[in-house]
Amino acid sequence: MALVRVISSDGAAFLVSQRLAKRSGKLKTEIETFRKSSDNSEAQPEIRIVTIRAEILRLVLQWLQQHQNDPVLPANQNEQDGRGDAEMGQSQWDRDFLAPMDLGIVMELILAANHLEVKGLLDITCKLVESKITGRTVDEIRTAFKLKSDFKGNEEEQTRLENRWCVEN
Amino acid sequence: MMDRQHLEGGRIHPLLLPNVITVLAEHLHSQDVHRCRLVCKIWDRIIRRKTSPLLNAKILSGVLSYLPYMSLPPARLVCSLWNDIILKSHWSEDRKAFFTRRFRIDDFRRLNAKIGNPRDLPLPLAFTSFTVLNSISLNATHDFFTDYGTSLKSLTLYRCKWTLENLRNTLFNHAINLEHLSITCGIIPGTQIGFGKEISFPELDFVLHEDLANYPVLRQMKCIELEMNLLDKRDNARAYVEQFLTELFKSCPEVEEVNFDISAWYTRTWATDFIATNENLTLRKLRVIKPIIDPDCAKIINLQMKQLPLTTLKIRIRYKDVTLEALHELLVSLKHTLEDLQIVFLEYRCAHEFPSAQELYKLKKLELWKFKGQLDFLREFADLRNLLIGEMKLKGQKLFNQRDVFKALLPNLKKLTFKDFWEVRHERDWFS
Repeated sequence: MALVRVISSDGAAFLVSQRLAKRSGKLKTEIETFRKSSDNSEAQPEIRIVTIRAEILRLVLQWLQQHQNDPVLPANQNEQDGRGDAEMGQSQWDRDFLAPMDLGIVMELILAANHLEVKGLLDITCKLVESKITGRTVDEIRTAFKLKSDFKGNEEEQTRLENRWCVEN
Repeated sequence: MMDRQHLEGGRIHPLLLPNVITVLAEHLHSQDVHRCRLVCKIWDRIIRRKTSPLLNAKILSGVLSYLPYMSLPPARLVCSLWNDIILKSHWSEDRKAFFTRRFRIDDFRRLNAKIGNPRDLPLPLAFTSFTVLNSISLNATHDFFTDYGTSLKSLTLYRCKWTLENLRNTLFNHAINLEHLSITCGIIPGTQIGFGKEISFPELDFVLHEDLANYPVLRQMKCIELEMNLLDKRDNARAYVEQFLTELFKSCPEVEEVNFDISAWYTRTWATDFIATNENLTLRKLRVIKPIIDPDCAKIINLQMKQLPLTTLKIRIRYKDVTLEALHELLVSLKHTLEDLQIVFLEYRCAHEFPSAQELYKLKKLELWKFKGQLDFLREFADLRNLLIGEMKLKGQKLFNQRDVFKALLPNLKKLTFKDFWEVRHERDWFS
């Protein structure tokens, strides 16, 4: 079985099968690039992911392992409305997988899923973040996600006026 | 973006170009990236957008696509990037129009016929309230409930010809978060007013469950309004209706408000039985529209034994059915909780036995219909906020002569209404 060595930003190496790694768009491209540039077809590719630390990378690979037999979703499916397929694909395993994580880890996981182009994982994590936004006030959202308001002048006031049709009071 | 300071000999410094920094950040080690944010404002902004997922346009767009439409307006206020992205790819005036007009099934059907799959409709991703009018079959709404059922909080079925099985499936499989269910003018086929057809109940057999313990439960359900016209004389309907009601109420253990308006006498008997015997009921508001007749009356009085903490009570009383003493006893038993009371006498009645203001000390809202005689007793109710007197008959006196009574009430009264014709309206108007 052909293997590939994936190395995290803090130097931890993960040895995974190429079949599994190729379920990530980014790793797939990297492996193919390595094949082209290397003369020895038997050589084991080594990929450094400098933006992702070991803990997060392990989670991504764990998720890929669990979902290795799922059909691969084309990355630009539902491009028009931008709506993913989390509702359809989310299994009990996914829910248990995400349940113990705090929001910071989920955020890093989203970035990693985006960077490694793992559509399924990106969908379920986005859905999770959505559930943290729904029903909260603006300030609660800002605090939860550590975002700052950067409206200039009366932009915020203007948006509030536009929202009047649905916001009570 | 770039101001004068960044220009050196007519050229922009390459390390201040957004694209350059973005590419750099891709390749930088995760620890270095955060150090780089300290270099300058532009680096900080661009790197923050790169490293915070909710400032990354693609990821943010993904997250927002799951957001119910009603949550988008507050999300716009979070920061300018969110606002821009929502306005660019998630905002649509069509959707907004649906909300501001309060979505109706007519629109839905028209669009459904045209497009086919409701997921492709220019509709919000979540509805909170939905009205189904008579001409709509379940097939036309099946896809709708599959997609939007879980977001529904309020469902009104007006003259629907759904079978009970349809209703069951819809409620328990899709609309699981429902808080308010209103059934108006009959759910059981052939029992609508004016249909006059022979009733057959073959499709109702499924209702008769053997094991009551296995009912699906709608924990969110807070309010049930039932307004059905059943035919009293059709005895074969009785078993089914009672079973239906049992099943419905067993499935909604948390229900707090019941508007009960079913014409057949046995359903009223059933309802009062249910209220009187169900230990776990958390009922707070009760409205029984059809006149209370003899057997029920005794049961309603049972509420007194149960000490149900009702805050709202709306009843109609027919002279022959209930003695004034019994009514008085009922009201007094509710004195510690009752805030909103509506009594409709079906014949003109005096109120000699009306409890005193000391007894009903929590009463804030009072409606009296078809009342006869002096209003002097009202003088004591100085805490009333809202008073309605309907179809009053004064014994040879003019209302003007009773002005002293209202003078005493006025300091606290927020709303005072006089009506001279029969008009007890539903508080929820499903057409508006």
